Amino acid sequence: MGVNLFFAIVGIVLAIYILINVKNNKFDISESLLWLFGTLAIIIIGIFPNIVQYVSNLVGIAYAPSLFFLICIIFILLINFRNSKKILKHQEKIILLAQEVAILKEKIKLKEDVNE
Amino acid sequence: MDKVLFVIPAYNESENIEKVINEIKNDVTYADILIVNDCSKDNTKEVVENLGIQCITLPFNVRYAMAVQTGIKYAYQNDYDYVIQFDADGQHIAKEAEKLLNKMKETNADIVIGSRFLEKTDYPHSFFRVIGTKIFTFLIKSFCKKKITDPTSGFQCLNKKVIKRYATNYPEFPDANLIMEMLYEGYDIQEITANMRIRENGESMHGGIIKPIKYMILILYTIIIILIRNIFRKRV
Repeated sequence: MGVNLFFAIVGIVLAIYILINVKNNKFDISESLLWLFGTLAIIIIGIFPNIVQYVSNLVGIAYAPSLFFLICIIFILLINFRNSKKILKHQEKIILLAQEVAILKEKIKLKEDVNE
Repeated sequence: MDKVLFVIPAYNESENIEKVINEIKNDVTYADILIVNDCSKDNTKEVVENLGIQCITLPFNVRYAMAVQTGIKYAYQNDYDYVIQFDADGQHIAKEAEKLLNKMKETNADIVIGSRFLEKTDYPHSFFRVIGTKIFTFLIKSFCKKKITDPTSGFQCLNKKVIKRYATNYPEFPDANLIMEMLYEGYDIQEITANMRIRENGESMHGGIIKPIKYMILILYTIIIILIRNIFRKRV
């Protein structure tokens, strides 16, 4: 029981940590929702560990925790892929801005040269 | 008179750039020159500005393709009729650019590529380049039914239509993949023999052994993506 309680508390602490970050505008609201679902899953599994046992029996996994790890890894992979996509989008935008800045700087310089 | 712009991306090219600029100034008097300084660490910017040539300086290094695109965007915003992509290392010969322009006007092509392989030129090709080019030429021929002998050439002439397209959509690695993309989109691409010099100073972008192999794999992968995209485009 002690272990269950420990995981539930870990989940709750994580959820609070995320919510504090959102409250202080340090984290995106829509992005935080995804993570809150993750912590919610930790809390539920922490309180009712039998869920994992039940589901692994259903799908035919002999060692129940391995199902838990599998789900965690898939979740982390998905989030990682999302991050990768986001970083690339940002990179594209940054280059676009750099190009615009460079062209505008040249335009300003040309104008100043004409005025002088 | 058509407005012609030489777009020359330059990264640490202070040793070569002056010669290149003077050559264009002397041989293609009616054209404008734009140097896109890709945040060089040497004094490329000062050299160019002392010559009274327009120089766009990027705030950080964006690599070759995006530097080229910056120049094309500039051409698009300033309503140029033709862009000539030119190298800053002195490989390309300014006089040959007129051949490209004439070919473009004659054939009404959208892109004219200055090819090192169309006829036998005295340019010494590296082993990897020949193999790579042969593979790309074969791929383009088999999928697009068009013979492009030098798809990797950085010496190209673009018309207004292509300037607009490139200003909004330009890949990070413009090579055979871009040629295929443009052919699929219905642009007319022509080639003409262009003589080129051997690099005088500095190092080539595609030097070494590992780098060209990595580059080849990347371009081949991009080509596969373009082929898949094209299948879906036809069905839609």
